[in-house]
Amino acid sequence: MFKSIIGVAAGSALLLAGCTSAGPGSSQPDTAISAGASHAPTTINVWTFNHLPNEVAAFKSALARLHTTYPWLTVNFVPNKDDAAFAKAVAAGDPPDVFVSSAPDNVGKFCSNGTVADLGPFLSSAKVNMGATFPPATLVYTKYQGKQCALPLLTDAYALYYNKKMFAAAGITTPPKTLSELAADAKKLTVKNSDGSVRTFGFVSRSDYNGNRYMYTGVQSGNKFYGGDGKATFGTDPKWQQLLQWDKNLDDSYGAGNVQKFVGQYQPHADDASNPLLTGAAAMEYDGEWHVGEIDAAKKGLDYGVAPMPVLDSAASTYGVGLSLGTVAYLPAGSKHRQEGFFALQQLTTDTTFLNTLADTVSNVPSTFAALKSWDKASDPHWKPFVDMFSNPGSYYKTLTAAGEEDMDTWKAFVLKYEQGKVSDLPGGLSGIAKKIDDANAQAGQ
Amino acid sequence: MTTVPMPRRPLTGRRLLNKIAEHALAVAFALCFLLPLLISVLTAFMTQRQAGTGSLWPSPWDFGNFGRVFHAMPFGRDLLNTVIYAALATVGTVVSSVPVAYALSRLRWRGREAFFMVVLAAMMLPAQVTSLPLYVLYSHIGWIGTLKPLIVPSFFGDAFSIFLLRQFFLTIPEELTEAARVDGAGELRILLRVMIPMTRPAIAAVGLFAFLYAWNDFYNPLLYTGNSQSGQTLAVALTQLAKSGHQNAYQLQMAASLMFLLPILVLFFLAQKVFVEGIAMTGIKG
Amino acid sequence: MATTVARAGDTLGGARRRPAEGRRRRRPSKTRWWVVLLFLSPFVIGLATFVLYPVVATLYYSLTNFQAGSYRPVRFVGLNNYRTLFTRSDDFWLSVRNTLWMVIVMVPVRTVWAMLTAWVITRVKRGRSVYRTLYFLPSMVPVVAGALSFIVLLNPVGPLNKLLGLVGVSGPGWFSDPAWSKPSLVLMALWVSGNTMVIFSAAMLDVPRELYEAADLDGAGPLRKFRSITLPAISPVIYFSLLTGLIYTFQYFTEAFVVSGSSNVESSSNQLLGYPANSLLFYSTELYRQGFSYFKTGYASAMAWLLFLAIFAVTVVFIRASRRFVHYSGGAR
Repeated sequence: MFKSIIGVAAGSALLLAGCTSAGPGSSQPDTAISAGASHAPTTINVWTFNHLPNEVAAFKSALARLHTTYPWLTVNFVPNKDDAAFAKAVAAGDPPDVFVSSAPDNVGKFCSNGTVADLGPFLSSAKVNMGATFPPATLVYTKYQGKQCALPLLTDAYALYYNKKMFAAAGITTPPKTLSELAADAKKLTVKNSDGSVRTFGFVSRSDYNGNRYMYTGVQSGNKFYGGDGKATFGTDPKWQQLLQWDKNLDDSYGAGNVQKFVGQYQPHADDASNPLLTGAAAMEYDGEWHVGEIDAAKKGLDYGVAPMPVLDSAASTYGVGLSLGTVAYLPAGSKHRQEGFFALQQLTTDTTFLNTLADTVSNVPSTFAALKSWDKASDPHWKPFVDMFSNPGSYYKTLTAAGEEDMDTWKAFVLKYEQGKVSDLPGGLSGIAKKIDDANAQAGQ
Repeated sequence: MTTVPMPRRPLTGRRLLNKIAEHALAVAFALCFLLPLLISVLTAFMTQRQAGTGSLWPSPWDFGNFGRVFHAMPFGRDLLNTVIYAALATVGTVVSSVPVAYALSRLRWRGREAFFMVVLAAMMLPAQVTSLPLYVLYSHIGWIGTLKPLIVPSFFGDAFSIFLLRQFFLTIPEELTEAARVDGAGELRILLRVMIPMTRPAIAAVGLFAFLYAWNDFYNPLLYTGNSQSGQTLAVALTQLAKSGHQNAYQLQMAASLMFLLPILVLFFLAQKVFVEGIAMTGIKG
Repeated sequence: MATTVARAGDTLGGARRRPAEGRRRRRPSKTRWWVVLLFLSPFVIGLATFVLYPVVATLYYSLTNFQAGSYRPVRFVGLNNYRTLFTRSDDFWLSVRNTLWMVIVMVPVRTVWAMLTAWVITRVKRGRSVYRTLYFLPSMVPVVAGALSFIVLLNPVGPLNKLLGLVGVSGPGWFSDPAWSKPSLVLMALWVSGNTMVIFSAAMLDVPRELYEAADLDGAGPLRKFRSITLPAISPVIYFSLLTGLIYTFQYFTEAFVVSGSSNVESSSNQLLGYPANSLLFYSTELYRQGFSYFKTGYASAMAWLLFLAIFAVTVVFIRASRRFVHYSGGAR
């Protein structure tokens, strides 16, 4: 107890003197370990967001193989850690040596505030040819202001899932290509009960359902979240208005109460056997490629198709693009084993067998050229649209900023407010939200 | 809780009706209070397929959920952490608060009233106000992820417990402690031999409150240990069980919740008098 | 909840009467200073470390751009964080509004409900202790376990809506519907109002029966009896319940955190505080999000200081107001 008191007292003095964190603590140079050399036994901590049993098992087996190949490297693997948990560990001064995050939203933040290491020196020391290894779309969301602060570990894309049987019954032969076609088809496919409630929704566009928020990041309207000057474009680009109005009109056509009920009922079940596409409560759905795997697991016989998500009519020429983002792997700057951490990171993100096994397990798309080439699913009709989307040069993810996920959180909250009819002046609201996001970015960049 | 004895009057028709109405009302309220618990218990015996669907009655009954909890989460370890936290925090709170309460009620010194105001102010202070610097502090001394940030502060006195104990101590006639003092007993001796034996129920109540507070505590464990594998307590672990897997495992969550709740219920029925009267006391007569 | 409410509540009852004590009888000599210090030492150290230091440090942080865990140099930014809060942060104001909603609705409704259930208890004579135990029982349930129970109970296709369906009512979406999420939390607060109920029933039973009998002889109706006999007797409890409720609601966190986090299973594991549609973004959850998800420590510290000031101000106002509205019988111990 006495020790604690001294510790606390000493700590307080230290903190009041100046509350700055110590710099990264590693004494190792930022160079890669050569794979062939012998090395002292080391245990590193690898954290990942993954938490499903099959995904955890895939990770564990890959890490076990790593240990067999390089017996000096032992990995302590910890699943189910989100970005907030990671940030907490960093603030607590005890970060893991590798962190795998489900989305790239915080790459800009972690990169700019020094939470994660710039991989550049390691990569050049390891002689990794980035351009020849990783598809360009994956580099967009792993780099911040020229610094390679993360490496892609499998990628994701969002597309339109549709029930072929329902399409045939409604006389629809091809999936919609524009948002107005989508709305028209949705209305055709909608089946109401006698009491006015909805039995089958054509398509629910509300932004807080499942992954729908990604429909409102610009890919569907052919515009960019941030303009060339780095400022949010909501106030200046009229396409945002068109996109949101399309969303609200579609929502309103079902009756707001019905949509609310749908979201409330299905939100917790977006990924499981009660998913509305599987139960017939929805004819179309916007979701990531892992949904193919979920459908396989939950209802093998379902006759469904996958197509690129339709785009705003005024951007019809861009049809075929998709939102592409993915899992990213970081090397935390405060890691006590940066060299070993990078070694594991490099192995995980470039190992073809691991990438393909993991891709099959979690139903994602591999993120290296080599892995994509040898991947057996590339020609599967459900997977092909995703692979095509990746090779489409228009596919992208919004520019990352120093404020991290705050811009998306802010935007998401605004879209929801509008959907609930609480924004009377849409153009004014959009300008306001643009300013708010710009402010947050400016503040974070200070 | 005194009831004034009433002479028994014969039941007339109207009074009988009144009585039935009163009981019907009381039963209706009791059902309202019991419904959520009842649903939890029933859900804990449902299969994955049935749980969360609105079914009211398990069919078939699945008794395996309680066992499955131990596979779905490290329930034993989390329980142990919770017990360690609650037990040590209870001991710490009582041991460190009793002397302070004694000093505030029996010792004579300048600034006593002012100091008491400080205690009251500390009691009002929400954890949210202090947690940002404390998080930084604990991280510098490597405490994050361990149970120390939860337990150690309780050994430095708890404002609420001090306040409560002081109120109880004041009800002990001054003559008793004064007599001991005249006999030449030291203050520590008076505290241990006179004060504590006479206020045992109050100390028990304070201990009980401290135990419950720690057992239920969510904010502090979430902040300081929620991130670690080894320092997890049940209150936080339960909310994470809700998110494991694609499925909403309501039946596992309810089974785990019931196991989390059980020790508290046992404690409650064992010490019901202390609880109910303790709360009534603190409320009005404090 | 039981303990927290009791915690905050006892403050005032005691603060009121203190000056009289200790002066009642002849003053014995002062205790030697080192003895006093010995008795106080653990708490004094604790106070300095876990209360005074954090309060001062929070104030200091709030004037900087400090981000815990970041390697960015810490800069003094003056009142920038406060300026941002007041002029540019919609979420901050939204969290203030949501919190005030709870203060205005949940606190009084819970008090009335506790009063009502206490009244029911005092009406029945046989089996009173059984009823009291049953009403009180839920307030023993840990907040997290209670919130999880309610998530199951209030599932849009769950048991309660099924029961409502049986009587022909189409139940709302409860926690999943932004319009119903806060009322659902109020429902949950009623469920755990047992501790306040116990205090109310004790106060009601303390009223001498003769007073009612005398009023009966005077021909007073039930309403009048309530107004002129019961209400004055329980006014300290009403006051207690309102004040503790107020302080509790200012720091309302666990229920909102658990409900928002668990009734929404997102494909990404990002914690969605405030779900649905930020309707459950309360002051403390917003503070937590800024401070411990975004790690904007300086900004969150400014929020923490404002919370501190608000609680302090409200408490002072409330204590002053009590002198006018609360009737204290002289005989209380």
